[in-house]
Amino acid sequence: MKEKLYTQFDPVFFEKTRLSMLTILFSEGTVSFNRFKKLLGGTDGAIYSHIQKLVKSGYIKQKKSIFKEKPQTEYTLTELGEETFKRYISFLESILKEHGEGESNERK
Amino acid sequence: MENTEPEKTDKSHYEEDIRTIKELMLRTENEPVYENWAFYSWGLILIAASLIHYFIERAYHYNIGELFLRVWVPTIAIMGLIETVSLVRNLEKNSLTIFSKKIVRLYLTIFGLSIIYIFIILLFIKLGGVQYLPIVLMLVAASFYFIFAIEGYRNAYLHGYILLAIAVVLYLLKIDHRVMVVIVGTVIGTSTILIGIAADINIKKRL
Repeated sequence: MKEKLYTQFDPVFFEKTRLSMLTILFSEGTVSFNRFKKLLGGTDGAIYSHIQKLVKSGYIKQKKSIFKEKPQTEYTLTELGEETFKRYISFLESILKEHGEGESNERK
Repeated sequence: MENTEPEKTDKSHYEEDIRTIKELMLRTENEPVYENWAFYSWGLILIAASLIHYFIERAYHYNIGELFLRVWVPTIAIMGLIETVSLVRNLEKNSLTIFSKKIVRLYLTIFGLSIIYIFIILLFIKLGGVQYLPIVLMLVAASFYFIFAIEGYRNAYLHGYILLAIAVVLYLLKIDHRVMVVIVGTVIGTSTILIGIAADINIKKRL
C-alpha cells in the first residue's frame, strides 16, 4: 500500500532540502534566493542546484526583480507544485493515520 | 542522480518529513515583521503625543479638529515613517520579499482596517461623540494588537485584552475626555513598549 502511494510522487520531491524549499514557498508565497540561503544554509551552488531541479520539474517558477537597486531572483510555487505539495501533506497524514490505526489494532 | 537519494518506504522517513515541514512552518510563522526598536519608538511617541495634546488643549483651547491636525497628523506620519524603516530593514535582514504572503496579508489587513477606523472616528466627531473618542482609540489599538499577535507577537493578545478591559472601565468611570486622552495614550504607549520588550526576550531565548 505504502509503495503504491509512494510512486505517485516524483523523486525530485523526496529530498530534504527540496522539500524544505517547497515548504517555505508554500508558507511565504514569494521567496528570494537569499531567503532560501538564510533559512536552509548551504552554499550558493548547492541551493542553486536544488532550485534548478525544482524549476526543471515544473514545481516552481522564477522571476527577476529589483530590490534596493540590486537584481534578485524570486521564486514562487507553480500550480503543479502547490497541488503536489498539498497532495504530499495529505499522503503523509494518511500514512500516519494508517500506521496509528495499525498500532492500535495490534494493541487490541 | 536521483538514485543516490534514500528510498522512503518506512514510517520514520515520513515522520522526518513531517518534522521538517512543521519546523519550517513554525519558524517562518513566528518570525517578527518589524525590528523591535520600532515598538519602543511607537510607545514613546504615543505617550509624548498624548501629553502634548493635553497641554496644548489646556493652553490654547484648540478644538478636536485643530488638535488632530497639529498633534496627531504629525504623530501618525512619524509612526508611519518608523514603521516603513523598521519593515524595510527587517525585510533586508531576513531576505524577505515585499510580496511574501505574510507581508501582503498584514498590509491588506492594516490598510482595510485603517480605512474603516478613519470612517468610524470621523462619524464619531461628526455626531458629537468626542468625549468617547479616546475609548474608540483604545479599541482600535486593541484590534491592531490582535493582528500583531496573529503575526507572531503572541504577547500582544494579553495587551489587547487589557486594553479592552481598560476601555470598559474608562467608559463606566465617565472621566473627562481631556484627561482620558492622556490615560489612553500612556496605556497604549506603555503596552506597545511592553510588546517590544517581550519580542526582544523571545528573540534572546531563541538564540
